[in-house]
Amino acid sequence: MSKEPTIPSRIDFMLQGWKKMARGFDTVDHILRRQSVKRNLSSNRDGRVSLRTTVFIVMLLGPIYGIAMGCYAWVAGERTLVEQIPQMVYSGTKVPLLIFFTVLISLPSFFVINTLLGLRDDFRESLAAIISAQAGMIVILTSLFPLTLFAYVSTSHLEFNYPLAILINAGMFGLASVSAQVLLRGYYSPLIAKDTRHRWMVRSWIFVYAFVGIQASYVLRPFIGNPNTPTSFFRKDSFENAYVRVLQLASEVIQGFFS
Amino acid sequence: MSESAKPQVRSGTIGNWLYQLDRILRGEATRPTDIQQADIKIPVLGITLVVVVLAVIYGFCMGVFGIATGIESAQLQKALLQTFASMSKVPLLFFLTLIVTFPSLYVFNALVGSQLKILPVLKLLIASLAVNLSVLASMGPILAFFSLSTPNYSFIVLLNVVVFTAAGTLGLTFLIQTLNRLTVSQHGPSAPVAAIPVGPVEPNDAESEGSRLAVIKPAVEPGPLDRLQGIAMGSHVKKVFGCWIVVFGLVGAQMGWVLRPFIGSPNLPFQWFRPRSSNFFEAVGNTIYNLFS
Repeated sequence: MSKEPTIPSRIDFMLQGWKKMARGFDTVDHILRRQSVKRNLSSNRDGRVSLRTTVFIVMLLGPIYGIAMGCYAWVAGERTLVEQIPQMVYSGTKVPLLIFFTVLISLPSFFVINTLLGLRDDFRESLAAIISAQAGMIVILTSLFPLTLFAYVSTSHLEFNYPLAILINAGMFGLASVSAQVLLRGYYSPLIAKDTRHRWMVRSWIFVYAFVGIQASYVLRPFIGNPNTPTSFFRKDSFENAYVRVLQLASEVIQGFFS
Repeated sequence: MSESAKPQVRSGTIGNWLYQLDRILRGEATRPTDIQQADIKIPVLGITLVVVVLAVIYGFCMGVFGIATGIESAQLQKALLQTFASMSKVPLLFFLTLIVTFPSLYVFNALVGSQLKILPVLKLLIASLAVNLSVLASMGPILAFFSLSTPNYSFIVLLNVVVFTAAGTLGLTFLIQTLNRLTVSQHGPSAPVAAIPVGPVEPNDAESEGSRLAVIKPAVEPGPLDRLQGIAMGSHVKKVFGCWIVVFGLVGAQMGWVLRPFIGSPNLPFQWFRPRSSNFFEAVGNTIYNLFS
């Protein structure tokens, strides 16, 4: 005889779901307040904020900002929602991809230099700090997506709205990265207190991460999707160098100034 | 940390060589307490082979640029040849530089007053090459990624110069700090090695991994690149090594120039070696200029 779920058991089920969600928020809150890492480090235990949690957060929250970013042409009223869906899916995929790729490419040198500086025994903690900073960055970025949407809506009537959209997103990514670096420094502070060599390590990580990350985001373009060009995962000219482009632009500006 | 606490030999020869490389990178091979006999305990042949493999890996990463541009311009054969050339030239670059600079290092080392025999000096150089190549190879993925995504030849050349400089700086720092330790241990230090900060001895957390159980270690273990406290290099030693570093850097840079092309300009046909002209520093200047034009 099949048992009908009683109302109390349904409530119980809903309550458990709610508890799980609350625990999720708790994790996010801990990341932002740097509590879990701090607690683990100060009690000298393995200070890992689990890699699984981070991957889960990046996979779950990353697409939210990506989708918001990618709906530009729809919000600006230049395409219908159905036309814009592929771009939103692409951008949603690309944000986690960008994070994973940048970290993976930058990790080998981080590992070797950590070892060389004699910090290998702390490597687990360093790695935990770096990984949780990624989760932190995604959380911060996600909190910014309503702002991005609002900015899209309020600038869509302007003539130069597409370049402006790029600037807005660059600003949001910049803000999230800078805030995440602050988080990272916080995560690192017990390590730095333990051994000042960690200060150099965190600096060099930030440098390499930014250097690789900027180029990776340039390669993975378009994130926003120019309304005047057909939607695609990669640009035709996507294999270009961001830094060379900036230098060339700067040199064009200077030459234009003097001619 | 007593050596007996660590597993001395891992299963398989390759595993053991990698373990030895790890010991060098962690500074275990050059720890001041273990270096008393003025010798570094590393298997020269094994580490040399590891160094060659690391150099080949980095050579491949250098060749990625050629492959990327070769696929675009349908010149895959040229690209593969260039990659093969880079993979063989990077080990060559380091070992030729070693051959050129080894005698002078030995002589200067003797001049400084160290009684180090020739084999320890060779071991020291191989160890610092291992440090250099490990850093280089660890930056390989970054270089490969930029090579794939950058059609600009000048940028890749300059990125290589930066990566080589970073790796070389770390390798040389290792060399000098280790040589200093060796010299001190030979002399029978007046400011003894005990001057390194040995903190309160405490057993590790019982919850940590099995191999680290009950290992007694100083509070702050000096890393392989750390200058030992209480032991200052004499001013003449500093001068000698200042000169020697300049020589090593110049030889290495110029050796790279002589052995070029490593990356392979997309506009030139494949060559094993280019005709000798100009020099490294002039070329770097030109490359920076090209980046802007």
